[in-house]
Amino acid sequence: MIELFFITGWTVIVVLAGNFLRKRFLGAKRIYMLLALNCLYLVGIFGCYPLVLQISGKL
Amino acid sequence: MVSSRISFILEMTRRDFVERFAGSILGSLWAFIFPLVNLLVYLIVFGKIIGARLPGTSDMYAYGIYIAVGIIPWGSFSNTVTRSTNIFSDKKNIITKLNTPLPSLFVHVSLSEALTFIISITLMFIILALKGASFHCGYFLLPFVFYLQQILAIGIGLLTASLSVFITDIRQLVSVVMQLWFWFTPIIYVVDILPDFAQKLMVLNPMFYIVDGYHNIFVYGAYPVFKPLIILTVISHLLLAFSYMTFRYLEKDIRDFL
Repeated sequence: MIELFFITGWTVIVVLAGNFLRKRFLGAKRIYMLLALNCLYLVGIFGCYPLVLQISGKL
Repeated sequence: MVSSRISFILEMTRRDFVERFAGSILGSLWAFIFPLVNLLVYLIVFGKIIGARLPGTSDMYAYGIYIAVGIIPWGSFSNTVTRSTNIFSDKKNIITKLNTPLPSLFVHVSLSEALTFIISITLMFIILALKGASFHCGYFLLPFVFYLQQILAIGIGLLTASLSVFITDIRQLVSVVMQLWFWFTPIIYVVDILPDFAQKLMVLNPMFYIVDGYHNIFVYGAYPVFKPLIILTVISHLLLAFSYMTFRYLEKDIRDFL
């Protein structure tokens, strides 16, 4: 269950940050910022998931 | 502006899906029949008829599942790259007649392939559930592995599409490369059977880590190897940023050429 909480929580944080960036930047800059955020999102998932699994005792 | 782009992408995806089976009696039902038949072929032909066994497992259907969970994502990846490469010539009419946001076309291709992937994977889940397989937390990572794979596909597709407007040979080259890439990725064979030099070269194949991730989740009941996926995430995004930069640089010429 903790895994699902982590994924949902991280997704909500990134979506909110994405919404903020979308309003703050315009044009190509916005695309690059969103791309960087997207990269951070996936790195966060793949990077922190093993830690979450360790916390829940599944790894 | 944003909502009009989203509705454009959704409408294109819907049309793409409907047009694929237009005129047939069963219509969209074919979208379920094709993958179902494929999955059953892999499981029955490789499991029961040929009797192929996956090294290290005693399960009769393991090799069929191994092939299926490799081919399904590969199909999405390959189709996204190939269709993206040809997108400007395929959608020439729309691009020249309407003020189409060109990057939206790539999102539509990826979304359309995602739909096909979701159908196939859902059927796969149903088959696994009927087989009595147990589900674990690794399955939560499936959307993210697929997402990463599609980011990589769009990154390659956007670059090849931009260049193929000026160098048409790129379309044929991409088809050939995808064919070779398929055989260089352990989808229908296990990586351990390769000679040492090929196994060392496999480190350079980004699709190896993605397909390996699917295999770990579905076949071995394990988790994907995280470190290469993190590196691949960064590389895929850098590639996409580079492709987008190239596209922006060439966008005006692309529209003029079309």
